[in-house]
Amino acid sequence: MRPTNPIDRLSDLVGRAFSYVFLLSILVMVFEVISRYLFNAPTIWAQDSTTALTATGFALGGVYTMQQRGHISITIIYACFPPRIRALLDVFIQGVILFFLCALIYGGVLIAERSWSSMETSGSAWNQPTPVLLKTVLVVGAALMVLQASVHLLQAIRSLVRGGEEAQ
Amino acid sequence: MSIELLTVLMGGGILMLLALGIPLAFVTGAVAVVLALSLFGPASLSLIASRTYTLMGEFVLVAVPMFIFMAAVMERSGVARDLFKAMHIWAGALPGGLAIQTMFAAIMMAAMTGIIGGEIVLLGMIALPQMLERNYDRKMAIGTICAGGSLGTMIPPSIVLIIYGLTANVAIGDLFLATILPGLLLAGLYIGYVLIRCAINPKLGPPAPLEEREMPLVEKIRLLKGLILPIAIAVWVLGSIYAGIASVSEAAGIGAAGAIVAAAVRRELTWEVIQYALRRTMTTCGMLLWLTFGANALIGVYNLMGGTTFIQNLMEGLPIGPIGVVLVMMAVLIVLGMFMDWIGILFLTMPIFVPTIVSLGLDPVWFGVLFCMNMQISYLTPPFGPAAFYLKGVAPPEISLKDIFNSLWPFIGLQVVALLLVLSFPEIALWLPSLF
Repeated sequence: MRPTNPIDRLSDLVGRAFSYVFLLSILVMVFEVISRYLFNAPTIWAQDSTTALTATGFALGGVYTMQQRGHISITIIYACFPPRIRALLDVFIQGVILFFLCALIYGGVLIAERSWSSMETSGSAWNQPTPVLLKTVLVVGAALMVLQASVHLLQAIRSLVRGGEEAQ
Repeated sequence: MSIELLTVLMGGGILMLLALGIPLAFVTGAVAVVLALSLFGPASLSLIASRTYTLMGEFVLVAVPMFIFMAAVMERSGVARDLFKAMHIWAGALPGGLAIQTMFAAIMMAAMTGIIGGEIVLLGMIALPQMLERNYDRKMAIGTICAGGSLGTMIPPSIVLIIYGLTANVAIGDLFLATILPGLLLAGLYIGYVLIRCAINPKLGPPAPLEEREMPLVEKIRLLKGLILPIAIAVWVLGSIYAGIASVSEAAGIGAAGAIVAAAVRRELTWEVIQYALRRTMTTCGMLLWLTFGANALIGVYNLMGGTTFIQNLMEGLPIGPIGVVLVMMAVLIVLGMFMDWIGILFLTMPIFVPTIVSLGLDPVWFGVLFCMNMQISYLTPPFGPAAFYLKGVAPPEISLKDIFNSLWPFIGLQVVALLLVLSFPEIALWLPSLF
């Protein structure tokens, strides 16, 4: 799905840019394995940082997948409806998606706030404030998905108004 | 409202929303939010968020993107093509040789990747045209590729097992060990089926002519050089997990780095390949993880409602004995497998099934193997067998989706036989882990 509007471009950019967290986490892991098994000098930061890196990728991957329309759904019944009904369903589908994401953001802000106010640390040997970071990243990831789903909602409404043309 | 009524409403709501075409990740998430809001109030939304936060920071999940990355790099390299050629040396002379060669290549590739999809696409592009050209029985050729290609999640490493281990709280190393024999059992049944059918009727799969079977030494050496590193990586990754030296995540990291090195040695590594693999990892993880977020939220809320205990009591109260309960669960999994992806099924059922299995005194590792075999069936069963869809994408246009599904029935039969064998003789799964 080629990005055609600013929000799509943003999702695409976030997805491409943050896909490098996975490459970074591979490199950290290799470094850790070499220093532990070859030099008998395990680091205290490798496990925390690889999980933080991949967790960031997971949270921000949702919007990239959404922009590519890659979230799995069952379309066999959906596909049987005429275009006009499909356009109506699209509006409903995006509504449900937005409902869940907004609730997740609400809950996410609650836990992130608590985390920020105490600058919560991970409690591991490295003990950095990764919980603060990751809870914030989760909220940001969900917020980006809200933007992307809103674009899909607008597209669905436009198609509904035009009588079901170009329904996606 | 009683828990019985709530459970029925919840199940009905999920099915209805799914049928309307809402992505599964958001269906489960939205139902969880509705339940949380109506039963426990807005403050309970922080439960959903904090469950999501805890899940995304699980160390074992680090292995998931790494195995996906590894598979994506492999997909873009010529390893699959070379493996297929190399297997020719062993299997070329047998009846149904090309099909058996395909199955061998599938097993080797399954030991290098942990996902389904890429393998079927590659074999569909490499092996299917050759078998069709040689006038192989079309049904057998298609079935071999779909069934063999699905082994990616059965023969370790396997993302299905990683997620199962996380959900069921059992050691992933044990799960990997336990699936080896059942995985080989499946492969053995497929190979035996092809051999027997082609021995009875050689027209189904004529062996290659002699002149084609003789490969020049130079070619053999070239193949060996290109394959030795990828195979060494597979052995290293699995070996270090089994030997208990490395955690699954560490082994996956080394495997992913090894895939980059192997591609470089084969002179197939470009920056574009890495970017492609990273983007594939990002979309696949975005899809998989948000599915788990949604289902995990739903299970959290359902648990809080007392639903998990309710289902557990219901199952244990059934007058059919432990094996009867397992059979009921298998039936539920097979039916769900026709309509849903493995990860949705795993998250919706396992948090309820696994505690029941444990309280019945059965082994959760064995149950994980049964689950994994069940998902093998789900890849092939219509109307949503993903294996068929992957193959359709690369098959010649005259092969319809219906043709593909029609070809898969004998292999589904073999999968059911294997499932029943492991069900009746748990040792097939549990013998290897008991040695370590």
